[in-house]
Amino acid sequence: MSRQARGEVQRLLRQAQDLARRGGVEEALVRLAQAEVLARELDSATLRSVVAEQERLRGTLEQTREAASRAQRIERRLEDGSRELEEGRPTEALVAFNEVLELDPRNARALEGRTTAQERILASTTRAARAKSFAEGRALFEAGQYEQALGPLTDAALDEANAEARALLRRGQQIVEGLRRQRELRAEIERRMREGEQLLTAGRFPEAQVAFETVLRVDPGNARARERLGEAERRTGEALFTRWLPNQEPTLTLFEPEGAEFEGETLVLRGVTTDDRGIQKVEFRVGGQVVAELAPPPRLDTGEPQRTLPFVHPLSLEPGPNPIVVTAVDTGGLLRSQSLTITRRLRFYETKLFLPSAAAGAVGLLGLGLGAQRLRRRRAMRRRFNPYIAGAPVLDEDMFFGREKLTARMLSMLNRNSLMITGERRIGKTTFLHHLKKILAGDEAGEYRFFPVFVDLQGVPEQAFFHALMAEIVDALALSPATRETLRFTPGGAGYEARDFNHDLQRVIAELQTRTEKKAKLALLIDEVDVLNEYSETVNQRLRGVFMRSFSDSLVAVMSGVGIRRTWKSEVSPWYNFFDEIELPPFTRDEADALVREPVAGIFRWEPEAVQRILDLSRLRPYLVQKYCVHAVNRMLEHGRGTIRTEDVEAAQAVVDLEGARAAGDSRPVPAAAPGAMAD
Amino acid sequence: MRNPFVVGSWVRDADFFGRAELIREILDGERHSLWVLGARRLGKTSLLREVEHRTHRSRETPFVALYWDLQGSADARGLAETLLGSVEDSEPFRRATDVSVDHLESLPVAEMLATIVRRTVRAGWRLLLLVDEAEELLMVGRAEPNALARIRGVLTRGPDVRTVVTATRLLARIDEEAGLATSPFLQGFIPPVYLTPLSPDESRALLARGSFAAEEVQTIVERTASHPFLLQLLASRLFESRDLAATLDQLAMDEMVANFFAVDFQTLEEDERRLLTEVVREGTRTRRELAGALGQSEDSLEPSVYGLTKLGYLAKDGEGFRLGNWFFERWLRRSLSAASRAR
Repeated sequence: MSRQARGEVQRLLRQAQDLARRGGVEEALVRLAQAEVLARELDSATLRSVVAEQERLRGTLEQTREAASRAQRIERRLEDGSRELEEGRPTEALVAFNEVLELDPRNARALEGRTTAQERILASTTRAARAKSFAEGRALFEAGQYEQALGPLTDAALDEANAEARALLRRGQQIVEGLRRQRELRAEIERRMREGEQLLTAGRFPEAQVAFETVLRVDPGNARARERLGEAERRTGEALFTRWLPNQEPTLTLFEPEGAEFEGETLVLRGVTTDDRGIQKVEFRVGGQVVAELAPPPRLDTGEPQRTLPFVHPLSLEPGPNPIVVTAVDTGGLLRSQSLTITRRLRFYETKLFLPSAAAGAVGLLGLGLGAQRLRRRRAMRRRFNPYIAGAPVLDEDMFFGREKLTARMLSMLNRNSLMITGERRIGKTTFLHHLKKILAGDEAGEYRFFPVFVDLQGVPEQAFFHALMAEIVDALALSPATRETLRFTPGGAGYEARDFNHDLQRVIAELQTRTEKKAKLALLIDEVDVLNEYSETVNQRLRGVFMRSFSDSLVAVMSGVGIRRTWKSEVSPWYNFFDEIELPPFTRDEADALVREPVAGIFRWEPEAVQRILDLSRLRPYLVQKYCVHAVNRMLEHGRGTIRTEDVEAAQAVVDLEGARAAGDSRPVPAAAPGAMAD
Repeated sequence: MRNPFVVGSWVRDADFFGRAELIREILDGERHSLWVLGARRLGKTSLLREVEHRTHRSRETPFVALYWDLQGSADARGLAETLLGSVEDSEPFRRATDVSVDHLESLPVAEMLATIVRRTVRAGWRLLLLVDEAEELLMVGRAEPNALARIRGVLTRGPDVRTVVTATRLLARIDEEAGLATSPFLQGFIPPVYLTPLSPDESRALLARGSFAAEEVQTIVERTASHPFLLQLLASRLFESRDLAATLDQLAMDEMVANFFAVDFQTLEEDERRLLTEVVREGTRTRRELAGALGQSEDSLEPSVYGLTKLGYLAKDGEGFRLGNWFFERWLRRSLSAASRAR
């Protein structure tokens, strides 16, 4: 396959060169877009040759476009100048001819027009009038009305003695030209983005790729273009690889139900579907009717479609036979179905035989359910499945439980407020910050688009504080090379101070603003801020100073720590008074209950008393809940059981106590109920 | 709808409420040196940021504004650093005056200021220098009184530069502690202009953002006495909880609020603290009763009563005075009882 791909790359390269020679540079770039996608799967030399050709052709295309645009502009402004002259507006004419001469200093028509316009202005104005024009032009210039300032400044600049007018006019022309270029650039970006979207919709993926790449060449930080380019490349790649590796149907496996008969109104279907290109949806039909559809959201980390989708879905059954069809559809539109017919038998109490057969039937049903569970359990026991996490922050969203209210509150408040999350050690502050990062990155509902950056201050010395913050920002936000060049930050740079940080932050925020149409908000999620207690007041004050800056309405911080030292000796405002505080409490019983049960649901069973015992012993601290669960599940596995019993929890208590005591540097057992027993 | 209230951060433009008269005095008044005296979290930074914002947007103003946050300066070199940072931060200022950091770098702070004024005037403007956290000058003055004297010389240069400093009343100590050989630092800046709590109508306008019931609005205005920080904090928490009684109880016991009062209380003079303690112990007191309890004449007590009323610590109650707001009263009572238990 690699040989076929290489051959295809060479063919596309040749086609591109041929097209370019005949003037079809845009079409050539489309071929190279396809070649690039293929070459990425090959060796770096092939990819380099494709990229070099792309660069060369893009350069040619840009030059051609620039020349055409320049010629058009010169022609238009020459016409403007001549018309203005004819209509008796020499000042406006002179502005137009000057503009042409900026683009083409030897343009004869413009030189001649300029002379005529100058003569007419000098003939029709006095020195005093020109002095007045200068004052007017300067005022307009200083008020930022550069275009309006050009006319009066053009008149004023005709006075030989008024060098200041000429200098101001020159600056005005440069600014107006810069603004014009910016406007054109913005319009071009919007046009190319629209075109790219239309091409994507029309299934012309390589062409769309070229459109989005063009946007990124002039606006490297454009997140939307980057995202759409990724999509276009993926689709181009799929289309190409389909030639050698045609899309395959997804696989679909149903674990439950196992029997053909079922008693009860609601049957639970349990299974998993996988596909190498990603799952688009899973559809459930009962009796020919679609009764439900699962459409998995894209992966949070890469934005790609999910390739594996486990599902547990309840279906309502009618008495008698129920034809059920489960269909998995992949992103390429291929599908795989599994059919089964489940006969719903009436419940015992619905039949005449209810009373005599109740006991026997119950045992049978239980056995059926337990059989399936036993199968899963046996596999899990072989693998020593233990999903609980004690000690490290929880980064897997599937293992994140509770805190819904707090998350909603934070999201609501972060629009306009910086926040400090306080809470005892190991209450889950770091885990919550990571969770918040994902939530903020995906938040589409508010007026702001958040760009979250996680910073861990542990071990950061005072001298390196601002440098460490900026290092994380630069790392996390993948800034464009153009922005990177304007920063004072260098990776190993010493002597990086608050002022440098503020300087750089302004530029980072400016780039973020180009990535979204909403208001950009950089969200610094700063963990372990207790470190700041060890810093001098000056550094703390300078941190506060960052949030007093004019750009600080595009900046928000969420800090987390055990607590901020509040003894304040300085006469100025306490540094910590720019944020509101929120305490991270222990879990509610329901949250803790979910954390115990859900990670092993359907695999192992918890004795209700064991769960209650963990909730009591842990005092609803998530870290302790996890720790008890880890040890209790391990003990259960050692005993070859599938049910976690109270005795497992009691045994776990001894281990947890011992670990707590060791962590506290004390060999004595620590009473579970004592506050602070969990200090790390 | 997301929480529209702002706790802690400065505000401007649509988020800024009230202060119309004070802003008029800053922009259109006769004085070229003003000290805006305000307690902690009364909105000093927001006031300066709003003035800066309005100046940048105005076509009629003769001023170009520069906001200078002194916090963390510590000494004359630090002042120069924060001033450079301010210039870097303000694109409208740089554009209007054509001042760049390169013109200023490596100059001592007084010369830096003088250069800024000179270039501002040359560009056809007058400088409106908005100096925040001016208590930092106390530290500079103790260590380098000559540098402070030179800075004062530029700040009070007359019509070319209008200087507005904001600080708590701690700044009043500067002339005692810095001991300038030339004119006292605060000459021209005093009498201070007080930054008061908002008016009830301004508070209601702010609270309208939360769509609260009329009775809730009334309770919030009463309990906070329109103190902007307490108003925003209570409104923000109520917006999330929608339970006013519980929110009031929580806030009254909140550690952050307690710390705010404790820090704020320390900015007052000893006599003022005694006066407030007397009121919280005995309830509403007349001038005469207060003078008797503190062993002073009513006349000598008047400046303290006036200042504390302006800053929102005291409120008129018939002929007498009571504590300004419910939260402060609860905190002071608790602190006094804790202190007496400790004794």
